[in-house]
Amino acid sequence: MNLHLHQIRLPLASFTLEIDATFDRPITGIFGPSGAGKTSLLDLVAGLRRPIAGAVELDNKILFDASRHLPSRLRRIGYVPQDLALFPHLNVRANLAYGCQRQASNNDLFTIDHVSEVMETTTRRFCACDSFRAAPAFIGRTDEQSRFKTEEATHSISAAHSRRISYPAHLRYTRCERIDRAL
Amino acid sequence: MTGEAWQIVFFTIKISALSTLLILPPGIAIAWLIARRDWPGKAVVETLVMLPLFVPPVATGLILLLLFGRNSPIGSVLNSFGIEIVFTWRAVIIACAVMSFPLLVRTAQTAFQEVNTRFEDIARTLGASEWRVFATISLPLALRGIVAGAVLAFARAMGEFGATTVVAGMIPHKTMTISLSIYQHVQLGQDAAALPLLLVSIAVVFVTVLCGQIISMRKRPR
Repeated sequence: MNLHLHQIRLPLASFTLEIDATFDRPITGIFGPSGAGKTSLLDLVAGLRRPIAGAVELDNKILFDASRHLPSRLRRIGYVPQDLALFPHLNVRANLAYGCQRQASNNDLFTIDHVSEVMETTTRRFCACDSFRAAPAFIGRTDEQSRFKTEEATHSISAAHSRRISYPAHLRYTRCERIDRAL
Repeated sequence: MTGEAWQIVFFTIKISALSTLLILPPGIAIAWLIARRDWPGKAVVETLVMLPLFVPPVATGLILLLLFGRNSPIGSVLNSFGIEIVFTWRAVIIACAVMSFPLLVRTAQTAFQEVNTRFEDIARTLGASEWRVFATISLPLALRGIVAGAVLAFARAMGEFGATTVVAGMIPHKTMTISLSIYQHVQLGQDAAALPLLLVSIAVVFVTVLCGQIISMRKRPR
Protein backbone atom coordinates (compact mmCIF):
# COMPACT_ATOMS: atom_id res chain seq x y z
CA MET A 1 0.00 0.00 0.00
CA ASN A 2 1.48 3.29 -1.05
CA LEU A 3 -0.46 6.49 -0.61
CA HIS A 4 0.97 9.81 -1.74
CA LEU A 5 -0.61 13.10 -0.83
CA HIS A 6 1.27 15.58 -2.94
CA GLN A 7 1.10 19.26 -1.92
CA ILE A 8 -2.57 19.09 -1.09
CA ARG A 9 -4.37 22.31 -0.26
CA LEU A 10 -7.85 22.05 1.22
CA PRO A 11 -9.53 25.20 2.58
CA LEU A 12 -11.34 24.53 5.86
CA ALA A 13 -13.44 26.86 7.97
CA SER A 14 -10.59 28.62 9.78
CA PHE A 15 -7.43 27.63 7.93
CA THR A 16 -6.17 25.86 4.83
CA LEU A 17 -5.09 22.29 5.37
CA GLU A 18 -1.81 21.63 3.60
CA ILE A 19 -0.54 18.09 3.35
CA ASP A 20 2.51 16.72 1.63
CA ALA A 21 3.03 13.19 2.86
CA THR A 22 3.55 9.56 1.94
CA PHE A 23 1.92 6.69 3.77
CA ASP A 24 3.54 3.36 2.99
CA ARG A 25 2.78 1.19 6.05
CA PRO A 26 -0.18 -1.20 6.13
CA ILE A 27 -1.66 0.74 9.04
CA THR A 28 -1.24 4.39 9.84
CA GLY A 29 -2.76 6.14 12.82
CA ILE A 30 -3.29 9.85 12.60
CA PHE A 31 -3.72 11.92 15.73
CA GLY A 32 -4.02 15.60 16.38
CA PRO A 33 -6.17 18.11 18.24
CA SER A 34 -9.79 18.53 17.44
CA GLY A 35 -10.18 20.62 14.29
CA ALA A 36 -6.69 19.85 13.01
CA GLY A 37 -8.10 18.27 9.86
CA LYS A 38 -7.90 14.52 10.61
CA THR A 39 -11.34 13.79 9.20
CA SER A 40 -10.78 16.14 6.27
CA LEU A 41 -7.66 14.18 5.43
CA LEU A 42 -9.64 10.93 5.37
CA ASP A 43 -12.37 12.64 3.35
CA LEU A 44 -10.06 13.75 0.63
CA VAL A 45 -8.49 10.31 0.35
CA ALA A 46 -11.97 8.80 0.09
CA GLY A 47 -12.94 11.42 -2.48
CA LEU A 48 -15.62 13.04 -0.36
CA ARG A 49 -13.85 16.38 -0.40
CA ARG A 50 -12.04 17.96 -3.24
CA PRO A 51 -8.76 19.82 -2.60
CA ILE A 52 -8.10 23.03 -4.52
CA ALA A 53 -4.58 21.91 -5.39
CA GLY A 54 -2.28 18.92 -5.24
CA ALA A 55 -2.56 15.26 -6.11
CA VAL A 56 -3.65 12.04 -4.42
CA GLU A 57 -2.03 8.86 -5.63
CA LEU A 58 -2.68 5.34 -4.35
CA ASP A 59 -0.51 2.46 -5.56
CA ASN A 60 0.58 4.40 -8.65
CA LYS A 61 -3.01 5.24 -9.54
CA ILE A 62 -3.98 8.90 -9.62
CA LEU A 63 -7.13 9.45 -7.58
CA PHE A 64 -6.99 13.20 -7.83
CA ASP A 65 -4.96 15.83 -9.58
CA ALA A 66 -5.50 19.06 -11.48
CA SER A 67 -7.25 17.28 -14.33
CA ARG A 68 -9.18 14.46 -12.67
CA HIS A 69 -11.27 13.67 -9.64
CA LEU A 70 -12.08 9.98 -9.39
CA PRO A 71 -15.53 9.70 -7.77
CA SER A 72 -15.74 8.03 -4.37
CA ARG A 73 -17.70 5.10 -5.70
CA LEU A 74 -14.86 4.12 -8.05
CA ARG A 75 -12.05 4.48 -5.51
CA ARG A 76 -12.81 1.29 -3.59
CA ILE A 77 -11.79 2.88 -0.35
CA GLY A 78 -13.68 1.73 2.73
CA TYR A 79 -14.63 4.36 5.23
CA VAL A 80 -15.92 3.83 8.75
CA PRO A 81 -16.95 7.25 10.05
CA GLN A 82 -16.65 8.38 13.63
CA ASP A 83 -20.40 8.38 14.07
CA LEU A 84 -23.36 7.70 11.79
CA ALA A 85 -21.62 4.52 10.73
CA LEU A 86 -24.91 2.71 10.17
CA PHE A 87 -27.77 3.59 7.87
CA PRO A 88 -30.65 4.09 10.33
CA HIS A 89 -33.37 2.91 7.96
CA LEU A 90 -31.73 -0.41 7.13
CA ASN A 91 -31.37 -3.48 9.31
CA VAL A 92 -27.95 -4.87 10.15
CA ARG A 93 -27.92 -7.29 7.25
CA ALA A 94 -28.87 -4.62 4.73
CA ASN A 95 -26.25 -2.33 6.25
CA LEU A 96 -23.57 -4.98 5.81
CA ALA A 97 -24.70 -5.89 2.33
CA TYR A 98 -24.85 -2.29 1.10
CA GLY A 99 -21.37 -2.35 -0.38
CA CYS A 100 -21.83 -5.86 -1.71
CA GLN A 101 -22.45 -5.92 -5.44
CA ARG A 102 -23.59 -9.51 -5.75
CA GLN A 103 -26.70 -9.62 -3.59
CA ALA A 104 -27.08 -13.39 -3.90
CA SER A 105 -23.94 -14.14 -1.96
CA ASN A 106 -24.49 -11.94 1.02
CA ASN A 107 -25.98 -14.75 3.11
CA ASP A 108 -22.72 -16.64 2.99
CA LEU A 109 -20.70 -13.60 3.84
CA PHE A 110 -22.24 -12.74 7.17
CA THR A 111 -22.44 -15.76 9.39
CA ILE A 112 -20.10 -14.59 12.12
CA ASP A 113 -21.72 -15.70 15.41
CA HIS A 114 -22.17 -12.50 17.31
CA VAL A 115 -23.20 -10.60 14.23
CA SER A 116 -25.71 -13.09 12.92
CA GLU A 117 -27.73 -12.94 16.13
CA VAL A 118 -28.48 -9.27 15.56
CA MET A 119 -28.65 -9.49 11.79
CA GLU A 120 -32.33 -8.63 11.37
CA THR A 121 -32.39 -6.01 14.08
CA THR A 122 -33.32 -2.54 13.03
CA THR A 123 -30.34 -0.35 13.71
CA ARG A 124 -32.71 2.24 15.12
CA ARG A 125 -33.25 0.10 18.21
CA PHE A 126 -29.56 -0.17 18.94
CA CYS A 127 -28.08 1.65 21.87
CA ALA A 128 -24.87 3.49 21.15
CA CYS A 129 -22.81 0.50 22.32
CA ASP A 130 -24.68 -1.83 20.01
CA SER A 131 -24.09 0.29 16.98
CA PHE A 132 -20.40 0.29 17.74
CA ARG A 133 -20.61 -3.46 18.07
CA ALA A 134 -22.07 -3.71 14.61
CA ALA A 135 -19.89 -1.08 13.00
CA PRO A 136 -16.66 -3.11 12.96
CA ALA A 137 -18.38 -5.64 10.77
CA PHE A 138 -18.16 -2.98 8.11
CA ILE A 139 -14.45 -3.36 8.33
CA GLY A 140 -14.74 -7.01 7.47
CA ARG A 141 -16.95 -6.14 4.55
CA THR A 142 -15.10 -3.19 3.18
CA ASP A 143 -11.77 -4.84 3.84
CA GLU A 144 -12.58 -7.54 1.34
CA GLN A 145 -13.07 -5.16 -1.54
CA SER A 146 -10.75 -2.35 -0.64
CA ARG A 147 -7.05 -2.04 -0.64
CA PHE A 148 -7.00 0.85 1.71
CA LYS A 149 -9.44 2.11 4.23
CA THR A 150 -9.88 5.06 6.41
CA GLU A 151 -11.35 4.24 9.73
CA GLU A 152 -12.47 6.20 12.74
CA ALA A 153 -14.99 4.18 14.67
CA THR A 154 -13.33 1.29 16.40
CA HIS A 155 -11.63 3.31 19.10
CA SER A 156 -15.06 4.04 20.53
CA ILE A 157 -15.84 0.45 21.38
CA SER A 158 -15.95 -0.24 25.07
CA ALA A 159 -13.59 -2.84 26.45
CA ALA A 160 -16.41 -5.27 27.12
CA HIS A 161 -17.58 -5.14 23.55
CA SER A 162 -14.21 -5.14 21.92
CA ARG A 163 -13.51 -8.51 23.54
CA ARG A 164 -16.43 -9.96 21.64
CA ILE A 165 -14.99 -8.92 18.33
CA SER A 166 -11.82 -10.40 17.02
CA TYR A 167 -9.91 -7.92 14.94
CA PRO A 168 -7.67 -8.92 12.12
CA ALA A 169 -4.11 -8.63 13.39
CA HIS A 170 -3.24 -5.86 10.96
CA LEU A 171 -5.86 -3.58 12.46
CA ARG A 172 -3.52 -2.72 15.33
CA TYR A 173 -1.83 0.53 14.55
CA THR A 174 1.71 0.09 13.37
CA ARG A 175 2.64 3.66 12.74
CA CYS A 176 1.32 6.98 13.90
CA GLU A 177 1.34 10.25 12.06
CA ARG A 178 0.94 13.44 13.94
CA ILE A 179 -0.98 16.21 12.29
CA ASP A 180 -1.02 19.75 13.59
CA ARG A 181 -2.46 22.97 12.38
CA ALA A 182 1.10 24.13 11.83
CA LEU A 183 1.51 21.60 9.02
CA MET B 1 -76.88 13.59 1.56
CA THR B 2 -78.03 13.33 -2.05
CA GLY B 3 -76.47 11.15 -4.69
CA GLU B 4 -75.24 14.22 -6.44
CA ALA B 5 -73.50 15.44 -3.29
CA TRP B 6 -71.73 12.09 -2.89
CA GLN B 7 -70.67 12.24 -6.53
CA ILE B 8 -69.17 15.68 -5.86
CA VAL B 9 -67.35 14.37 -2.76
CA PHE B 10 -65.82 11.40 -4.57
CA PHE B 11 -64.93 13.54 -7.57
CA THR B 12 -63.09 15.99 -5.30
CA ILE B 13 -61.21 13.23 -3.47
CA LYS B 14 -60.27 11.59 -6.77
CA ILE B 15 -59.08 14.86 -8.29
CA SER B 16 -57.07 15.75 -5.18
CA ALA B 17 -55.41 12.33 -5.09
CA LEU B 18 -54.59 12.45 -8.81
CA SER B 19 -53.17 15.96 -8.61
CA THR B 20 -51.02 14.92 -5.61
CA LEU B 21 -49.72 11.88 -7.52
CA LEU B 22 -49.07 14.08 -10.54
CA ILE B 23 -46.89 16.55 -8.64
CA LEU B 24 -44.98 13.94 -6.59
CA PRO B 25 -42.27 13.07 -9.17
CA PRO B 26 -41.48 16.66 -10.26
CA GLY B 27 -41.93 17.93 -6.69
CA ILE B 28 -39.45 15.41 -5.26
CA ALA B 29 -37.00 16.10 -8.09
CA ILE B 30 -37.08 19.88 -7.61
CA ALA B 31 -36.94 19.55 -3.82
CA TRP B 32 -33.87 17.34 -4.13
CA LEU B 33 -32.20 19.67 -6.64
CA ILE B 34 -32.78 22.64 -4.33
CA ALA B 35 -31.59 20.78 -1.23
CA ARG B 36 -28.56 19.03 -2.68
CA ARG B 37 -27.25 20.82 -5.74
CA ASP B 38 -26.11 24.32 -6.62
CA TRP B 39 -27.08 25.57 -10.05
CA PRO B 40 -27.56 28.89 -11.79
CA GLY B 41 -31.06 30.26 -11.43
CA LYS B 42 -31.77 28.19 -8.32
CA ALA B 43 -33.08 31.17 -6.36
CA VAL B 44 -35.37 32.10 -9.27
CA VAL B 45 -36.82 28.58 -9.48
CA GLU B 46 -37.27 28.50 -5.69
CA THR B 47 -39.21 31.75 -5.90
CA LEU B 48 -41.29 30.59 -8.86
CA VAL B 49 -42.24 27.44 -6.97
CA MET B 50 -43.41 29.55 -4.01
CA LEU B 51 -45.38 31.98 -6.14
CA PRO B 52 -48.78 30.19 -6.13
CA LEU B 53 -48.84 30.60 -2.34
CA PHE B 54 -48.91 34.39 -2.66
CA VAL B 55 -50.37 35.25 -6.05
CA PRO B 56 -54.17 35.56 -5.76
CA PRO B 57 -55.57 32.12 -6.70
CA VAL B 58 -57.93 33.75 -9.21
CA ALA B 59 -54.91 35.32 -10.94
CA THR B 60 -53.19 31.92 -11.04
CA GLY B 61 -56.36 30.58 -12.61
CA LEU B 62 -56.21 33.31 -15.23
CA ILE B 63 -52.58 32.47 -16.00
CA LEU B 64 -53.57 28.82 -16.46
CA LEU B 65 -56.47 29.89 -18.66
CA LEU B 66 -54.08 31.89 -20.85
CA LEU B 67 -51.62 28.96 -20.96
CA PHE B 68 -54.08 26.15 -21.65
CA GLY B 69 -56.95 27.94 -23.40
CA ARG B 70 -57.95 26.67 -26.84
CA ASN B 71 -56.13 29.46 -28.66
CA SER B 72 -53.05 29.45 -26.46
CA PRO B 73 -49.77 27.83 -27.62
CA ILE B 74 -50.06 24.81 -25.29
CA GLY B 75 -53.83 24.56 -25.54
CA SER B 76 -53.92 24.59 -29.35
CA VAL B 77 -51.26 21.86 -29.59
CA LEU B 78 -53.14 19.68 -27.08
CA ASN B 79 -56.38 20.48 -28.88
CA SER B 80 -54.99 19.21 -32.17
CA PHE B 81 -54.46 15.86 -30.40
CA GLY B 82 -58.06 15.98 -29.24
CA ILE B 83 -57.17 16.80 -25.65
CA GLU B 84 -59.22 19.55 -24.15
CA ILE B 85 -58.05 21.11 -20.89
CA VAL B 86 -60.04 24.22 -20.07
CA PHE B 87 -63.46 23.63 -18.46
CA THR B 88 -62.86 19.89 -18.09
CA TRP B 89 -61.77 17.70 -15.15
CA ARG B 90 -58.19 18.03 -16.44
CA ALA B 91 -58.30 21.75 -15.71
CA VAL B 92 -59.39 20.99 -12.14
CA ILE B 93 -56.41 18.69 -11.70
CA ILE B 94 -53.99 21.26 -13.15
CA ALA B 95 -55.37 24.02 -10.92
CA CYS B 96 -55.09 21.80 -7.82
CA ALA B 97 -51.60 20.64 -8.82
CA VAL B 98 -50.25 24.16 -9.30
CA MET B 99 -51.81 25.46 -6.09
CA SER B 100 -50.54 22.60 -3.92
CA PHE B 101 -47.10 22.28 -5.54
CA PRO B 102 -45.33 24.78 -3.21
CA LEU B 103 -46.47 22.92 -0.09
CA LEU B 104 -45.07 19.63 -1.36
CA VAL B 105 -41.77 21.10 -2.56
CA ARG B 106 -41.11 23.14 0.59
CA THR B 107 -41.81 20.18 2.88
CA ALA B 108 -39.83 17.70 0.79
CA GLN B 109 -36.94 20.15 0.46
CA THR B 110 -36.70 20.48 4.26
CA ALA B 111 -36.89 16.70 4.55
CA PHE B 112 -33.93 16.27 2.18
CA GLN B 113 -31.97 19.00 3.96
CA GLU B 114 -32.47 17.19 7.27
CA VAL B 115 -30.86 14.01 5.95
CA ASN B 116 -27.24 13.99 7.09
CA THR B 117 -25.02 14.17 4.00
CA ARG B 118 -22.62 11.83 5.82
CA PHE B 119 -24.91 8.87 5.06
CA GLU B 120 -24.85 9.77 1.38
CA ASP B 121 -21.05 10.10 1.47
CA ILE B 122 -20.65 6.69 3.11
CA ALA B 123 -22.91 5.11 0.49
CA ARG B 124 -20.67 6.63 -2.21
CA THR B 125 -17.54 5.11 -0.67
CA LEU B 126 -19.37 1.77 -0.71
CA GLY B 127 -19.66 2.06 -4.48
CA ALA B 128 -23.15 3.48 -4.84
CA SER B 129 -23.94 5.55 -7.93
CA GLU B 130 -25.60 8.95 -7.48
CA TRP B 131 -28.93 7.38 -8.45
CA ARG B 132 -28.51 4.55 -5.92
CA VAL B 133 -27.55 7.06 -3.22
CA PHE B 134 -30.78 8.92 -3.95
CA ALA B 135 -33.02 5.86 -4.18
CA THR B 136 -31.65 3.88 -1.24
CA ILE B 137 -30.41 6.57 1.17
CA SER B 138 -31.73 10.11 0.58
CA LEU B 139 -35.27 9.17 -0.45
CA PRO B 140 -35.97 6.63 2.34
CA LEU B 141 -34.50 8.93 5.00
CA ALA B 142 -36.57 11.86 3.73
CA LEU B 143 -39.69 9.77 3.14
CA ARG B 144 -41.49 10.88 6.28
CA GLY B 145 -41.22 14.53 5.26
CA ILE B 146 -42.21 13.77 1.69
CA VAL B 147 -45.32 11.94 2.89
CA ALA B 148 -46.13 14.89 5.15
CA GLY B 149 -45.74 17.19 2.14
CA ALA B 150 -48.01 14.98 0.03
CA VAL B 151 -50.63 15.07 2.80
CA LEU B 152 -50.50 18.86 2.87
CA ALA B 153 -50.74 19.00 -0.92
CA PHE B 154 -53.76 16.66 -0.88
CA ALA B 155 -55.50 18.73 1.80
CA ARG B 156 -54.77 21.93 -0.11
CA ALA B 157 -56.17 20.41 -3.31
CA MET B 158 -59.35 19.37 -1.46
CA GLY B 159 -60.05 23.03 -0.71
CA GLU B 160 -58.91 24.56 -4.01
CA PHE B 161 -61.35 27.20 -5.21
CA GLY B 162 -60.01 30.35 -6.84
CA ALA B 163 -57.89 28.96 -9.65
CA THR B 164 -60.40 26.18 -10.32
CA THR B 165 -63.36 28.53 -10.86
CA VAL B 166 -61.47 30.50 -13.49
CA VAL B 167 -59.91 27.66 -15.45
CA ALA B 168 -62.54 24.93 -14.98
CA GLY B 169 -65.77 26.78 -14.28
CA MET B 170 -68.52 25.21 -12.18
CA ILE B 171 -69.99 22.65 -14.51
CA PRO B 172 -72.25 20.13 -12.77
CA HIS B 173 -71.03 16.51 -13.14
CA LYS B 174 -67.94 17.76 -14.98
CA THR B 175 -65.87 20.13 -12.87
CA MET B 176 -67.95 20.59 -9.73
CA THR B 177 -65.85 20.11 -6.60
CA ILE B 178 -66.87 20.42 -2.94
CA SER B 179 -65.69 24.04 -2.60
CA LEU B 180 -67.33 25.12 -5.89
CA SER B 181 -70.57 23.42 -4.90
CA ILE B 182 -70.61 25.01 -1.44
CA TYR B 183 -70.05 28.42 -3.02
CA GLN B 184 -72.83 27.83 -5.53
CA HIS B 185 -75.29 26.71 -2.84
CA VAL B 186 -74.49 29.77 -0.74
CA GLN B 187 -74.88 32.06 -3.76
CA LEU B 188 -78.31 30.58 -4.39
CA GLY B 189 -79.26 31.03 -0.73
CA GLN B 190 -79.33 27.27 -0.10
CA ASP B 191 -77.08 27.30 2.98
CA ALA B 192 -78.66 24.12 4.33
CA ALA B 193 -77.78 22.18 1.18
CA ALA B 194 -74.16 23.21 1.60
CA LEU B 195 -73.92 21.91 5.16
CA PRO B 196 -73.43 18.18 4.42
CA LEU B 197 -70.66 19.04 1.92
CA LEU B 198 -69.07 21.30 4.47
CA LEU B 199 -69.07 18.56 7.11
CA VAL B 200 -67.73 15.94 4.71
CA SER B 201 -64.93 18.18 3.49
CA ILE B 202 -63.91 18.98 7.06
CA ALA B 203 -63.99 15.27 7.93
CA VAL B 204 -61.86 14.22 4.95
CA VAL B 205 -59.25 16.92 5.51
CA PHE B 206 -59.23 16.31 9.28
CA VAL B 207 -58.54 12.59 8.85
CA THR B 208 -55.89 13.27 6.19
CA VAL B 209 -54.00 15.86 8.19
CA LEU B 210 -54.33 13.74 11.35
CA CYS B 211 -52.74 10.80 9.52
CA GLY B 212 -49.97 13.15 8.39
CA GLN B 213 -49.42 14.26 11.99
CA ILE B 214 -49.25 10.67 13.22
CA ILE B 215 -46.74 9.79 10.50
CA SER B 216 -44.47 12.71 11.37
CA MET B 217 -44.77 12.08 15.13
CA ARG B 218 -43.39 8.52 14.92
CA LYS B 219 -39.84 8.38 16.18
CA ARG B 220 -37.38 9.54 13.60
CA PRO B 221 -34.76 7.00 12.57
CA ARG B 222 -31.67 9.04 12.94
